[in-house]
Amino acid sequence: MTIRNQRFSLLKQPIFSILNQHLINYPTPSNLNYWAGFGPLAGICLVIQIVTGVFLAMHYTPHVDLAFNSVEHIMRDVEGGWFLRYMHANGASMFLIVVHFHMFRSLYYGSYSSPREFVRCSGVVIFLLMIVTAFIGYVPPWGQMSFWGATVITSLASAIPVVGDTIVTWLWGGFSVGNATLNRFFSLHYLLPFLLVGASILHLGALHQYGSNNPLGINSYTDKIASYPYYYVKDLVGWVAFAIFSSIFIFYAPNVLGHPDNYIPANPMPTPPHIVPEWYFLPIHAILRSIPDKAGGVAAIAPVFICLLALPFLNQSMYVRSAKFRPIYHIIYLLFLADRLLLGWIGCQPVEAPFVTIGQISPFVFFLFFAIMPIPGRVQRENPNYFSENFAFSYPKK
Amino acid sequence: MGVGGGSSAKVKSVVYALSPYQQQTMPGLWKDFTSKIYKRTLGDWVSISLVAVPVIGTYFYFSYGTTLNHGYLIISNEYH
Repeated sequence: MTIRNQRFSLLKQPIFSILNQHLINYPTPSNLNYWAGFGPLAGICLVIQIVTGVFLAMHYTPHVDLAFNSVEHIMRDVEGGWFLRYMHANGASMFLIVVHFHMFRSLYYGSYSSPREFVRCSGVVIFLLMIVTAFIGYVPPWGQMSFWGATVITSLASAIPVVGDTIVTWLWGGFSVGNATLNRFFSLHYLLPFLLVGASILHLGALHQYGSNNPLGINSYTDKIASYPYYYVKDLVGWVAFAIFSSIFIFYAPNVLGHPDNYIPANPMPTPPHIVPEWYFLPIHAILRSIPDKAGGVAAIAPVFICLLALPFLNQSMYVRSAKFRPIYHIIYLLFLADRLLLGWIGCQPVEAPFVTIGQISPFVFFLFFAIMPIPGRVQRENPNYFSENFAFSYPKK
Repeated sequence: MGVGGGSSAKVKSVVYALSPYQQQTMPGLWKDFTSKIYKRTLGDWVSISLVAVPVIGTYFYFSYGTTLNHGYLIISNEYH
């Protein structure tokens, strides 16, 4: 290639050079395993959600009298509309499944620890934005569960002292959930995914500043390979597996993750007998219900996100990150995973005698995980760098 | 890309020992497949137990108790 050609190479142009630097020639540790593929997969999920959402919005009408019927119109009259809708509805669940794997992978390999604190914090912000987007996205179909879900969740703000009722009125755009609520929720549901894109770019930029972590949890500065084609090909295996998994839901069980009551048009008069949130809200729902006081329950949600944000600052084990080399943390991690599964199960159980006890123990264990997080790091610091001393890729000497 | 957004880490060039015609996709995937699965699952029974026992144990404890007591689990005098 001549010098002139090199100068005018597409990959050296202003925007493309950045894309090349971050998406094609990005120096990636050579020892990443398949679990690392969940990050890029989450990006693909976001793109799928945005594309299907934009096309759905072309046929959807955000009005209380027309919303439910416009969704049925999409299902019956629009060419491929059922596919778009099922892809979007199940895509939200798939997105959150992928993000949960991504978060637990990060937790296992200690990817959140120094110097990647900002990566972790931006990730928690993305997770929070995702939850809000998913919640307000459940309202536009305007079925019974959309209406009552919106009523219950927005009413939680009334637990805030002094300004609570004013906030609820502001959220509703009136004195009850109605047309104004539907319109603003639809508008925000269209807006927030683009904020998610921005936050994701920030997340990626923060990650690429110090480079990706790896399963050994050590510095891999001397052992990098280009992300393209090596990790694109490796991630492709995960993408195909994911496509098969999500296709099972879209084509064979499209409503299994939803609620049958949402096929009844919204009606403010009869309340559904058992209002259950979507599966991805169940752990937070369980924590909310664990305190037998409305204000207390609402107040318990904030510490969840504060704990998730504080995690990199609680962990003292900077040089030995991966749970593979931290036996105490490995045990704590697995118990935390079990507790997370229990929270999901208990969140969909009725508030009755058998379930109340476990519903109060599980959130306690959840917060206990973060409380004892500094301990394994402290214990291991008595034996500093025990792993990196015995391994070829140690930290560069200053 | 580098520390403080500075210089990028050097990328290693991957040198293939085999030509594309001699390479196989995922060689050795099926070799000792059962023993590999065993090693990853039952072979690591401590890890499996740490997750499965609390989850399945709690589920069956409460489900079984609930069935026996006609919808209410009697675990203390509080529920008598």
